[in-house]
Amino acid sequence: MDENEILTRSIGEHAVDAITRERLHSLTVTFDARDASCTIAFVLADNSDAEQLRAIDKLLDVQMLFMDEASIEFRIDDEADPEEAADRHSISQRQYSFA
Amino acid sequence: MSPAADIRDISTSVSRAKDHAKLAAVMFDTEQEWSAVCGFYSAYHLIRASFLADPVFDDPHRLSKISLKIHPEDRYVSKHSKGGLSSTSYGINEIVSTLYLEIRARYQRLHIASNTVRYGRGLKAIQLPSVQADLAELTRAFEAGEIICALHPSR
Repeated sequence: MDENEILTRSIGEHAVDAITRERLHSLTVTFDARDASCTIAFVLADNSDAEQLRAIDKLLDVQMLFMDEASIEFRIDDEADPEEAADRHSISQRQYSFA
Repeated sequence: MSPAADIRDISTSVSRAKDHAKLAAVMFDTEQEWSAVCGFYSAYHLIRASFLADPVFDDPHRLSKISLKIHPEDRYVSKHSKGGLSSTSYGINEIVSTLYLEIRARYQRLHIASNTVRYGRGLKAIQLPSVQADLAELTRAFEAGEIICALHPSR
C-alpha cells in the first residue's frame, strides 16, 4: 500500500470505530491525493435524527485528528439510494469501504 | 476584502441571519429543499455573530490552552473550512468543532444538508424537519446567549 492508501484506510478505520460498527450500515472514504481532499460517506443502521447527530459529533473528532493530513467532508447517504463516488477509478483517488 | 469578510459587527450578522431564516421558513412550509441552504446560511451568520460576541477571542492565553490553532483574529474568519493542507488557519467549521461542542453536530449537519442540495443529488438521508430543528435549536441557543465558549470553564 502506498502512503495515501494507508492514510485512507486509517481515516476509514477511525471513522468506523468512532461511530461503531453496530450503528453503521456502510461507510466509504474517498481520498483524492491531488488536493488531499477526503469525503466520508456513510449510511446508518438507524437513520434517526438522534443517531445522525451522534455520528456527526463522533466524526468531527476524526476530522480534527486528521486535520493536518486531509481536508475531510461528510455525506450522509440513503440506504435505498446510495450515491456513487465520483471518479471512482481516478488514479489519484484511494478508497476504503466498510459494509 | 471579500463581501463575507466585510461583516464585522454583531447587528449586521444577526440581521443577515434573520433574512436567511425568513426565506428558509417560507420554503420549509412548501417543503422546498433549498430551504436547507437558506437555513445553513442563517446559522452561518449566527455563528459569526457568536464569534464577535464571545469574550474567549479577547483572551489569547485561554485560547491557546484550548487550541494552539485558534487565534484572537479568528473571530473575524468568514471561510467555512481550513481548506487544503497548505492553509494553516482554521475556518468556521473547525472553530465551531473546537469551541462549541454542544451545537457543533447540528451546525455540521446543516452544512452537509446545504452541500447535498447545492452539489449533490438533493436531500434524502437528511430530512427537512431535521434541518428545521437544527436551525431552530441554533437560533434558540444564540438568543439565550449559550453559544459562548466562556460559559464553559473546562474549555
